[in-house]
Amino acid sequence: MNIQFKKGVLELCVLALLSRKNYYGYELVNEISKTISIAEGTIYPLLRRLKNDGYVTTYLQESLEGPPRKYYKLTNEGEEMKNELLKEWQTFASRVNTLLEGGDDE
Amino acid sequence: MNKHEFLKIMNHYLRGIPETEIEDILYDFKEYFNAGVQDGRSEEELAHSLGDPKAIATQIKAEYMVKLAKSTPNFRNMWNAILAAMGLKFFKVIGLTLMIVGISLFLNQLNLYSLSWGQIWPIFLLGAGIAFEVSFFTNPMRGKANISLLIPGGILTTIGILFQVLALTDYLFIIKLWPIFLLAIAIGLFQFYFFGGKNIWFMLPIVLLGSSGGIFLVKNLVSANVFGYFLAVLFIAIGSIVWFNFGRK
Repeated sequence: MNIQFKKGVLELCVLALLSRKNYYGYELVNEISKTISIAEGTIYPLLRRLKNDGYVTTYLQESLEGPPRKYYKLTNEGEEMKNELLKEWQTFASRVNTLLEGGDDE
Repeated sequence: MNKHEFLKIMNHYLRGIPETEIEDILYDFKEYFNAGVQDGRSEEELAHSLGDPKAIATQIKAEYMVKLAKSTPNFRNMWNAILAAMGLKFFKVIGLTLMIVGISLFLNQLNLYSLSWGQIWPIFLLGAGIAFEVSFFTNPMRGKANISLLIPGGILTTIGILFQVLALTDYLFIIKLWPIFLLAIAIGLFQFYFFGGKNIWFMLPIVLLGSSGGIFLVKNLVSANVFGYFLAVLFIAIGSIVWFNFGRK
């Protein structure tokens, strides 16, 4: 699949997952890589960018095994961003589907 | 590769950004390894799923530098951002070029061989061109940030080769080879077009420069008689393309 395209979709997937619950890195990465095949390490630069842009925040939480885990949490801006991207994606996907199915206006 | 090696490589390629920032970045990766091992996976397997530590670190560093340059745009920060976007390979090639020139001049000075400054200076053009090319093609985060490097890359590499050939042959062939200047610009633009999203409007200057450079080059390199045939075939070809594509309707 086209790399740029994948990256755009990846951002939406991360935001969508985080809007359901807070994840720690490994858990989030695992969840994503179930669906999208990608070098898992590339999700971390994306998470940093989202954090720098104020779409997510992090907090540490004690875990039973080993050192505290860094959880990622969506901010209000992140939630807005997610809705915007989701809308774009849905419009785009439905148009592509119409096109692939042959269209109904001719 | 195990956890330790992975983190060491990342740490190495993150150098240059503040220590606290590096620790924060590596925290995520340490956590990834710890959680993965508890999940029953081996460190090697985990490192493999993460991908290339160098690519990840380079990307994070470049983004940090660009962010810094945007928020505090002084000369130093902008320079660092450019360096991070170009990658280290650029400076490796420049360094190598300088060493080759230095050694060459040294040997000349010792009368061990006779390539003078006048004969080797074009290697700087060539070196700079190759450095731009290499820094684009070896950068794990190829993209908008550095795609423009391909324009100077293509132009300087082509002109560098041209001048190197000319300098070694006392500039005898410049009368014949000058159309390569036109081709050099076409090559630079074509690379930008080809790797940069294929904006079709770039094809206009590329085709104009490329075809005029090509025609003059052929004219200069073959005899007048052969060129006569070449022109004849060329006009027939263009004429028939125009006829069949635009003549109808």
